[in-house]
Formats: sequence, structure tokens, C-alpha cells
Amino acid sequence: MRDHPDSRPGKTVRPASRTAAHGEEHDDELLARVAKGDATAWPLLVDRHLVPVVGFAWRLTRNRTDAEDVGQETFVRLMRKAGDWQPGDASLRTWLYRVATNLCIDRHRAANRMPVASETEIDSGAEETADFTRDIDIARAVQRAVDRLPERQRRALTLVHYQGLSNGEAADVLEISVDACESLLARARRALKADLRDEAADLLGED
Amino acid sequence: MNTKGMSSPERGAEMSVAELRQIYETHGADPVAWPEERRKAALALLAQSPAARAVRAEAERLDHLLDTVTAPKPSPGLVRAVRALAPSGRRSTPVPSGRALPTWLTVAGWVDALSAVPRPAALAAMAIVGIGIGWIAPHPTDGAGNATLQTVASETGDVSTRTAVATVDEDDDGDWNEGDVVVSGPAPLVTALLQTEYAPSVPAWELSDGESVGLSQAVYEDGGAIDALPLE
Repeated sequence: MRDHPDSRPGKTVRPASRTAAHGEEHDDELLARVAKGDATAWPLLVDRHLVPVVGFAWRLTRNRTDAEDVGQETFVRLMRKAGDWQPGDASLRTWLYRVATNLCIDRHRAANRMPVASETEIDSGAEETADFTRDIDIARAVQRAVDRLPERQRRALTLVHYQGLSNGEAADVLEISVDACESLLARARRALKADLRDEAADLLGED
Repeated sequence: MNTKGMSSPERGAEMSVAELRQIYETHGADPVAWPEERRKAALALLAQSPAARAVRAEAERLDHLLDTVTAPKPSPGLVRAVRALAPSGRRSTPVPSGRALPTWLTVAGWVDALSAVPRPAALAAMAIVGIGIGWIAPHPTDGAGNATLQTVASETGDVSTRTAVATVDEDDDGDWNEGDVVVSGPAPLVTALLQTEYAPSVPAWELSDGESVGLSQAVYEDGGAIDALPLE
């Protein structure tokens, strides 16, 4: 998981695809073992990447069933790809997010629908505390604001902020230039600041 | 955080507040993600400018707000199904002594099976084999004949092995007949097995009682052991 230096109290750690930590096998090495039929390598890849891929798909589809379907199909494709995987061509997580992005786009087109924020899913992981209701209200407001972003801005922001990719990696996933990706990110953050300025300030109890 | 150079107001003057705002909007509030060549000037400006610090506070607040939305984790069923896609070659749990591992559970067994099949096995047969060994065996492209092949997806746990098996037997005329596709095993494994190739091209499956259903429904309604015929 990407390390996010935490300079503020209350900041949460973002879920992100893990790259191989020190002492762990690199994704390319695990894929090579999978290609040779080694059943012990695959679960390591699944444990490393399934959670962030499904989380990413959920952020794009806002639907848990769709997210799980996208996650499963992404890994089915990875299994089929294992034998042809060329180390160094692309990072595995970039490849996974590109496949998942395309699957989400396909589902979106097929269903011809906009993502709908689920009021019941937003509380995952939250504990019942005195601040619970306020936290949920804030999260819902933020989610609605993110959902209002243009699709391309939302994908770029999700890849960088929530999945922990660098701007360059996100550009690779979206198959656009780094400059174009950074333009999307800047516009997304400006739009969110404007959208959330009044609402979030009110929810946070600020003047 | 590296703060070398922060004490030099001159370096801070190399960046305007507007430029700093652009960095925050493009790269986020975490200085680790900033371009190396601009980080020092940005940090210097932050050290000397209240306006710059106001920009930082605004960016950090946005990151904090974004972090309030957490994504759900995959269900245990999905995790099991995806882990079950593992190739069936080397196993993480040794087969208990006294029990021979069926040849169709091994990659070597598959290689042997393929070599014994009159070239070629039907493409459909190879397709479903794909989940098990598709990456080590090329698709046959010539010849004629019938083929009966099995493929397996397995999930090895600490105490047991769950296995799904699909048998494909396609006539050389390319027609599907009842009994050509037989699958058995835990529903998630069977679904994952068949989805690899059939799901995109086969819109429905017919159960042995004649009912036409989708793949997942076919598998789940019959408790994980079905005799299904792909409807084309």
C-alpha cells in the first residue's frame, strides 16, 4: 500500500495497489510462475491487487455488484494474459487498472446509466460514534460532488488520489499524455473545491 | 520531509503563490508527489508566506474530504472465486499420501492429454482448456476429429481441495449436442471456469430439464453440478 505521510490528525490512508515490498517477489516474477503453472503464485497476486481493483471499480460504477463483476473479469483476463506477459512492458497495476477502466466503461455504455451514489454503502468501515452521522453526511456530500465530475476527470482523480498512482501511471492507464492527465486532475480539484466549499464548510462546522 | 533550503527567502521568491496553487491542483497536497525540481521552491514559499499556507490548508482539506469516502472490500465469495482461478500445476498443499493425483489435475497430465487427442481438438475444447493450460498449449489449427477433454479449476485450502471440472466434447461438424458440455464442482469455480471463453459468445445455457438460463443462474440453480448445453 502506498505510504501517505500523514501530517494531519484524522487523515485516512488511501487504499492502493501494492507494489512488491522489500523481500517480496515482483509482480513480473509471480506472473512468470503462474505461467509455468505454479498454483502458489496466483493467490499472492490476488491478495496484492484484488482489493484495490474492486475498490477502483466501485468508485467508477458506484455499484458493488458491478464492481465485483469487473474485478472478477479483470483477473480472469489476467490469468489468460499470464503466458504472454512481457516483463517491463507495463506495470501490472497499470495493466489491471486499464482493463478495469475499460470494463467499467463498457458496463456504463451497456446500461446507459450514470453512477448512482448508494446511500447504504457509504458507511462501510465506519464505526458508530458520536460523530457518525456527521461523518456520513460529509462522505455523502463528497461522493455526490465526485459523481458530478466529468467522467474523464473522475477517472484521473480516482486513479491518483484513491489508488495512489503517480500522474504518469494514471496517464498510462487512461492512455493519454501526462500533460492531459494533469489538466484533468487540476480541473477536477478546482471543481471539487468550488463544489464543496459551502457544503463541506457547513458540515465541518466552519464559518 | 526534506526541509533543506527552506530557510532561504530568495529561493522561496522563485515561486509565486499562483504557481504553488497550480502544484497543489495538479499533484495534490502530499509534497512527496510533487515534481522534485519544484519541491524545494514550493516548500520555501510555504515557510515564508501566509498566503501560501492558506493554499496548502485548502488543498489538505480537499484531500481530507476525499478520504472520507471509503470503498467496500470484495466479498469473501469473490475472493474465493478469483483465488480459485489459480493454475492447477504445482499445489500449495501436498496431496495426502496414498491418494494419487488424477492426471487431469496436473499440467503434465494436460500436456499428455493434448498430445493424445487427434489433431486438432475442437477450438471450443481448447478454449475451455484455456483456463488450465491455455498459456502453454497452442490452439490446434488443422486436421479433423472429435475430442473429449477435461479442464479443472482448483482452490487449495489448508485442509482440502475444491475442484471444478468441465468436459467438452464437440463433434467435428461444430454442432453442439446434449451432453457435450458437462461441468461439476463448487458454483463459483464452475462459473469462473466457463466464463473464461464461453460467457462472451454463449448468451444462454440450457439445463438438462430444457430450461434456458444465463450461465451464473445455470450453475447456481443446480447447486454447482449441471449438465448444460450452450445455446448458440
